[in-house]
Amino acid sequence: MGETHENLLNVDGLVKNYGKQRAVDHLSFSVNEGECYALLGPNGAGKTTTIEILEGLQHRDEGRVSIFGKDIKQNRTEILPHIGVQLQETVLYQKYTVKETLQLFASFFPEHVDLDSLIAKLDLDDVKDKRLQKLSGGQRQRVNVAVALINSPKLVFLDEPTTGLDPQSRRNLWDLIKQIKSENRSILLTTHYLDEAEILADRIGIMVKGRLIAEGSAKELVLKYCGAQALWFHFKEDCGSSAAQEDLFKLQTELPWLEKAKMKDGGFIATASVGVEAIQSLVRCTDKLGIKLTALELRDSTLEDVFLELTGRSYNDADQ
Amino acid sequence: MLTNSFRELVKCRVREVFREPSAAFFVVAVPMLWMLILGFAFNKNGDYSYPIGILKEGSVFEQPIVIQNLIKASENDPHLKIFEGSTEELAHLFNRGTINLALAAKDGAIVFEFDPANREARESRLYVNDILQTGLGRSDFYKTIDQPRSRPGDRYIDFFIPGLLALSILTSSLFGTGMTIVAFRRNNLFKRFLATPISTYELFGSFIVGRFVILALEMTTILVFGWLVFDFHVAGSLLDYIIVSLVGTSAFTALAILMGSRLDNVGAYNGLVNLVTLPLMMLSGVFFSLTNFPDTLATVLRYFPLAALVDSLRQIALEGVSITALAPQLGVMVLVTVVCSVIGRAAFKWY
Repeated sequence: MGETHENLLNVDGLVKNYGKQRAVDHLSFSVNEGECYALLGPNGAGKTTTIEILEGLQHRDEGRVSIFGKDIKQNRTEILPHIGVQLQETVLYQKYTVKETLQLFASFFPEHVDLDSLIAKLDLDDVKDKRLQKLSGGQRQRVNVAVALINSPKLVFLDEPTTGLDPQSRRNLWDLIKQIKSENRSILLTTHYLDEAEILADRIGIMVKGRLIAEGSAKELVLKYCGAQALWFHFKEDCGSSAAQEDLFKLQTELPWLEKAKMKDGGFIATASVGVEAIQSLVRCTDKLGIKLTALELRDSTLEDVFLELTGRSYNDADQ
Repeated sequence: MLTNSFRELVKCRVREVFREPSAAFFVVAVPMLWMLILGFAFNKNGDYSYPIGILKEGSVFEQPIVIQNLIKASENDPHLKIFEGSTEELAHLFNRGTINLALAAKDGAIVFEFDPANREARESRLYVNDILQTGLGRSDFYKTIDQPRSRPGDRYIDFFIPGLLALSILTSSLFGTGMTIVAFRRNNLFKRFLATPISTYELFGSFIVGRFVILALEMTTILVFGWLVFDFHVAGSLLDYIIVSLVGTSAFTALAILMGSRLDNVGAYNGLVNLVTLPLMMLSGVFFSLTNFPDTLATVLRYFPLAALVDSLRQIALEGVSITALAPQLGVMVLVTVVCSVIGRAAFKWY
């Protein structure tokens, strides 16, 4: 494993079926050295199935997966000592202390990091002699991450690491993940939190129904699929009403950039490359047509706008 | 085999028991309770009774003279417990198990009503018949003397303690190991292990060797408590006794691995354990000797793994037999260990 590979992880045409249902559908992506790549998608998108195939825990039906240039299927024993894994749902020995847990997992690997340093790095010093059953959710998840780092892996798989955590614990874990990244380790992260992907990932792959529908950095995705800014506006009536739809139609004939406007939060949202100009033209046009605007908001576009643009559905409504 | 990971896994198995108060209770306290209950229940010298029912017809003076004699004898016989009643009342006492024999006078004879398959009922019949016949003047042709045996090694408790140790090994292995396996699978812990370079053999081996440590605790409890309370001794070699126990523990831990190889539901595993342990307990001579069964059945039952363990422990403890003479029993247990481990590994579901 001493060689250097620019792409530590390569996935090509990955397919996984559960009976007649296709969970992963010809998925291809790669993770480069020192990069944090996030698989972002709503629940049921196939993220966990994908990451577990890459970790060698599940079998694939089609496609190729290579880690450090070697196929995981044929070289599992050789690859495992060099990857770190944090599963989405694992209950470690609850009667074990933090230190005992780390000692146990350290013993499974031919080489491991100094446990006291690892405990300090993960801010677990105060609870190192506490049993896991006495820890908070955030502390337990830090232990799970510590276990994933015990063998000083080059590539770390983190499957929804912050799910179920309170906001403070989430932020603490983000800091930790940033720290792991700063050590030039590659990270494959799955998440259904848009903000998490945006903050942590160098590149994001958006997964829907087992397929990768878009890929790039958060900025690239926003610019490619939305425009830098998003303009949300509201008429007197709710967007679902025929009156509001009629008003929108009238506006669209005058303002072509409104063609792709979508319903959101009772109003409409449209993306624009220059927001101020868009506001000016919208206000002028509504005045001209006698349409009453009751609210107007201009903000930077987000991944949520990208998702809405790509799927036609709001991200929060997209759990499959 | 003695790698660092193996040592850590064995430590885990042991800590699971010592850090779980209920598990420690089952390993230490339950065998002692069994010993106390059964030891005293079957070890009360001469304290036994024959509960019989007599069909009541009119006053006592209207009963045939033999029955009047029996009722009179019962006043001075602590072993004879008489219940008089109507046919319906006696039937009720039979149903409850209060009596195991009923007497009635009919056409100049005494009718004994009892279940011939019930050994205690047969004993009651013989005892009562003796009183009836001797009360009318029957005498024995030859003098006999009853010599009670209650020296260490001859008592029921001496017979029972090796059986109890075997039973303890069986139940703690099946529950301790199997339940742990099922719970780990349910908690995705095996899945987490699968993402490390751990070897399956080390994992399985740790379950067996971890049980050895628990066995040391079980054995010490049973042997020391048996010695202190009942003056129980192992007539043969203690080392042989330990080796046989280790082989038995391996067999039942391997059986637990096989039984838990695919389940992730504790309730289903409990059901499976009951399905396996109940016949093993009843048909392996733990509580009573296999000679109570018909010869052909007893011959087959001797090859049950629990029967092989019970028999080996009894032969060493009661007869001082050497381990070299126990090759067939040890062979059965080793075979169970190998077969269950191989099938268990092939069938093992990590998650």
